[in-house]
Amino acid sequence: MRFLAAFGAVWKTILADSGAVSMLLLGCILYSFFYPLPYRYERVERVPVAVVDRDDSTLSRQFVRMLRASPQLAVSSVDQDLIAAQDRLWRYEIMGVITIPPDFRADIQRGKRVRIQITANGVYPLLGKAVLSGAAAAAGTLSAGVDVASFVARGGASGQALDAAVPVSYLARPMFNVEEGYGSYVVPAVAMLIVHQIVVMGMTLILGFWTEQRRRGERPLPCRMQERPIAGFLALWLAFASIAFVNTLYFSGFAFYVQGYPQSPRIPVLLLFAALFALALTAFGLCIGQLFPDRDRGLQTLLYSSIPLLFLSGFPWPAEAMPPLLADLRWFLPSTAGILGGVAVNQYGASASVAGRELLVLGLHAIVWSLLAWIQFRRRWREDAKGSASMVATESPETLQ
Amino acid sequence: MDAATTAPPPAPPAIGRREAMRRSLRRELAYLARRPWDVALLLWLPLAAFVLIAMIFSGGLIRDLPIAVIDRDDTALSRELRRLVDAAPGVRVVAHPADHAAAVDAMRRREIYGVLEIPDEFSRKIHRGEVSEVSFFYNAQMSTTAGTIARDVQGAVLTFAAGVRGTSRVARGENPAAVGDTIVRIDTQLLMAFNEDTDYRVFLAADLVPSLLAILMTVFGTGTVARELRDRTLGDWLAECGNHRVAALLGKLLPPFVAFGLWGLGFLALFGGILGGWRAGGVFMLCAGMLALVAAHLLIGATLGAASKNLPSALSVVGIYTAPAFAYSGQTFPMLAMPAVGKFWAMLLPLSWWLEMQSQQALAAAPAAASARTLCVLLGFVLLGVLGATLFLRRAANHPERWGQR
Repeated sequence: MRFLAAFGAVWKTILADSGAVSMLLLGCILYSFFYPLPYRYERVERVPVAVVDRDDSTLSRQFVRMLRASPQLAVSSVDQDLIAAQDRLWRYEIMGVITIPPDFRADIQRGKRVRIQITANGVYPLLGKAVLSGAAAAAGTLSAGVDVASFVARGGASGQALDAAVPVSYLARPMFNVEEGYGSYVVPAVAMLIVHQIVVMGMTLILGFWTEQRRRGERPLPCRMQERPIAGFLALWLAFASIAFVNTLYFSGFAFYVQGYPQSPRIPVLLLFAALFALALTAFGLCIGQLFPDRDRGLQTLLYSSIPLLFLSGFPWPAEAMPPLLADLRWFLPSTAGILGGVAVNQYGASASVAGRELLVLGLHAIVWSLLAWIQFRRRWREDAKGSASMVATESPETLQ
Repeated sequence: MDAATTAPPPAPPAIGRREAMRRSLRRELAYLARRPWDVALLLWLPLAAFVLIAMIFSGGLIRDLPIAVIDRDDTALSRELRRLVDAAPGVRVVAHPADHAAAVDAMRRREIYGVLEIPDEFSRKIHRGEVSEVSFFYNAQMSTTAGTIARDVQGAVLTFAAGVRGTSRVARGENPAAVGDTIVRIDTQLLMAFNEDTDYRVFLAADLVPSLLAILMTVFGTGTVARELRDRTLGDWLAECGNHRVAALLGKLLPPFVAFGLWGLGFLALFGGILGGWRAGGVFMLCAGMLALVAAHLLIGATLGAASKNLPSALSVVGIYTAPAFAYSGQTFPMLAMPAVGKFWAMLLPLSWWLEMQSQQALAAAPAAASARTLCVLLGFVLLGVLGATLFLRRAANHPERWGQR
């Protein structure tokens, strides 16, 4: 079989297989809307908190008004019952308790330091952070007002007072994900993993089914490719790689744009990355796909691997915080360079040299996995290999008995 | 063979439910004994997942992340600020790039996570009593590290500013003791309840283990039923169990229930051993909840297996249901910030309920009653699973012509 005929035959097999079509061709579209859905609002606002006001003075009520004005907080109750607030915190009805001490106003007037206690549910880091920063900002505003008022009362000019209040101003400037949205942070990385998982699993469907057919004594496509093995192997590889390539570009070019995630890829670098990523992950898929004895095993075994692959990649969990051995070993998986490279190219706008490490690793993956896949391709599907059936068949379905 | 399976099953001998369950169990054990792949799903994949998760998070807290400083002032004061920043636990100053562009390039290369820029005239302005501006640019794409470094650098700058402010007010002739007293009139005491050290590892690792178990359990539950359809042996199986569908189903799911139940309880024992201080009521709630989670996922899997035309399409649905479940569970991005559709989907996932209960009982040490409703919901999923699996099993048994599809 010549290259073009073989390439067409692989595509024909894929299109005739509804399971493979829905996974390889439609899967990414479905996940590109389904996965980012919970993060649509991007940030955490209006977190329910309780205020325990044990002072109940004009100043403490002014503070409560400032809390109510905070976009991060939703004050659900203001009373003096600390026990009830603790109970609601446990039931997760509220995510924070802000306690104003007794004699709050009197102590400030006497020039004494007072302490507002802000307790947040630390189990949910984003909620906790919203409560702490919302309440701390309100307290800071109130504090600065008190500070300036007393400075002016001592005879200073109020402009000078404001300057003296903050001798050094600190500006935090987020880069790349400038709005610091949660979806903008996590989805671009996971998108590359979705492409990886969907294409590899789709490949195991097709390859596993051919293995089943082979065991039944039929001549599936890879057997018929053995007369021109190089053309056949390349056709097989490139047919799947073209799907992975399109899926990668679908996320980078369309899905990120529709979701409104910040990105600034350089187009030639993006195309290079998508091509190398597609070749690497499909070479990997060809290699492991030929190991599964039937159509179902690949899915059964790989479905759970997404979470470990993501956390191994060093994206959400920094490699600096991993044991050194694992931080090195993670590069042996094509998903690692795919996730990190995808974020570098799409979100950081990396040049080929800046993303050089990931591009190089992906190229190496493409070479090594395709060699391993080639060895299997020649051994498993040869016509004369009488013993190949027993080599492939680690277990046989009941129907054959 | 085909003729035998498509023919109506022979009238089964009348047997009791208990005997039906025992026969189904025996049949399943005999199957598993010949299938190392299935045993791997029960035993080795969970083990591998646990070990891997434990290893990823064994490296310690996020600390000493590399950042850079551009110091255009380079005076005693700016060096003091640099020293304070470097001393913060989360960051470590590793580079002094020539300019902003070089710093951003290093950030793109992921050599540094952020850069602090101190302007020229920094100390002169401070001495003149003017405001001096310090900027910290950081990689906000990498949100996990951005939180740590932004907090630590800001803390160091504020410490520095407080020092300067005190000094300058003393210089203007105020009494040092009075200045120290009133620098900040209103203190805030910030407490993270239930997770005092803000140790990300605890809740991430503890959330990921049940999430992985949920995927494996659903996959296994699906395969248990769907392979009888694939191999056209559904009729044989049910006939052997006297057509007691519920009993046959429960007997068949007993081995994975025991295996995954032990994994789940083992995880809780390990987790409890690390954290300590659980209430007795909490231990009961957690054990009951975990067993309900296992049963619910196996039964939901069995439902999908019986409802789908073949195992791969059932597994695709399992993938949609379980693979993004952790994202929907509200543990990383809270449920209250999700759109209504997201919240609704999250409520259809037993995992969301379990993880809420786990954090209430295991991390927050809440009274057992606080999670009573959640346990009831989990048990509700179990009931729904029994009902759904039985109904779809009956439908599948009535359509032998649909068996054996690939």
